Amino acid sequence: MSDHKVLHAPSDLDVLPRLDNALSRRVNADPESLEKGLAQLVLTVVELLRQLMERQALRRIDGGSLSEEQVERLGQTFMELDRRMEELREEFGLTEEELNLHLGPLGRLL
Amino acid sequence: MSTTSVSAERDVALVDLVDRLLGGGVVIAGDITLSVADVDLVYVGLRALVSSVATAEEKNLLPRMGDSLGKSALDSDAFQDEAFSDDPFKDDALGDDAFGNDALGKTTP
Amino acid sequence: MIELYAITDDPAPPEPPLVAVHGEGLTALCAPAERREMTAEVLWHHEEVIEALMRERDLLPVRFGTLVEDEAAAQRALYERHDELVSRLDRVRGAVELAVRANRRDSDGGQFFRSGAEYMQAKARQAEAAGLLHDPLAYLARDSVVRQGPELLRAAYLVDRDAVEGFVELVKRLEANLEDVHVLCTGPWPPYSFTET
Repeated sequence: MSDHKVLHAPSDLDVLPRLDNALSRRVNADPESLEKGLAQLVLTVVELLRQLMERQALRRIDGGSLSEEQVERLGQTFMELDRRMEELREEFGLTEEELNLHLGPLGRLL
Repeated sequence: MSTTSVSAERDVALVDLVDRLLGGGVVIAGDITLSVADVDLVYVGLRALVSSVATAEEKNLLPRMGDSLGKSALDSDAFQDEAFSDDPFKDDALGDDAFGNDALGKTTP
Repeated sequence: MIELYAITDDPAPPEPPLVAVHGEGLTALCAPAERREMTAEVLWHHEEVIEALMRERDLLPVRFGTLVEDEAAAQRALYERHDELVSRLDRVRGAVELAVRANRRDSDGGQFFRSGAEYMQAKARQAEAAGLLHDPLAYLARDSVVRQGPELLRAAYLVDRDAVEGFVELVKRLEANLEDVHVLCTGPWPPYSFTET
């Protein structure tokens, strides 16, 4: 294996999310980061559920069992949920990547 | 990209490295040191939740939309109960909430 | 305390400071544990150690930071997980892992949707695009796993060592065929995503 790890990259690398402070996810003991760490855990669970529900909804829509009105309501709800999640992430200074927690021996949450 | 240095490439590949080193590989229960000891307990709980959610999804047993979103953990004004008074999955044969209401935080307002 | 780096069925001894702990036909490659800060350099160094080992043998990388009390404990781990480890080693023999991440150009921009239906349609299109990228790659690879991440697609592929070049060519072709989807492919990596059943 070579030192060079990138086999193919888009011409504009900014389209990919950056790993800001990915390594700070390793918990440390000061109270501020403890609070942020807990926010991270909670938001990650919520994000997990949000993604699962969206996927479920898409399957239901594909299956044709929902009315237009129901699809519209689902879409509105998910949009709102998405917006709300973004607000909360900003409030706690968390990136999307940070909501994909590595829990040591317990694996990745998302 | 042809003149990218090793360090620049490493920056780009860091996400994939961390993903793998911390999230992949053989898991051998050993003495993993986490600096904040009580966080362990929360992790275990979450892991059980994730496993049961993943299984429930497979078995098509996910809870009804109304329950999870109407009383969401986000406690947002955006989620008014009226929006979910008509359960979109009313006619569906989805089973009962796979976790019991508690796990999804059906919070009392 | 000792740190576990990788598991293999090749009994050849590693370069110091690594030591081999043998158990029932398997070998755990270990080194004395050190207190370290979690930095990118530390992780890359760890990765280099495993890749150097992988140049000489097929292996399963162990999760970073796995410590056990002593060599006897490492040996017990080999006994306890023996059959599973053997089966996983057979699965990854002669192969490496490639990582793919893809996003839409406008994914960061906070798209504006005029209706809930439009939002759901966009989500459905995203899922479709992810499938158009993933499915051919998965077909070419020995095995694959898709992860849920912020990207349109985040996946790992187990690819025969001599099929890596062809895989990367396919990635490029697929990217060219998909409108406005940008793809990053990194590797080769040790088979981190294919060690657990």
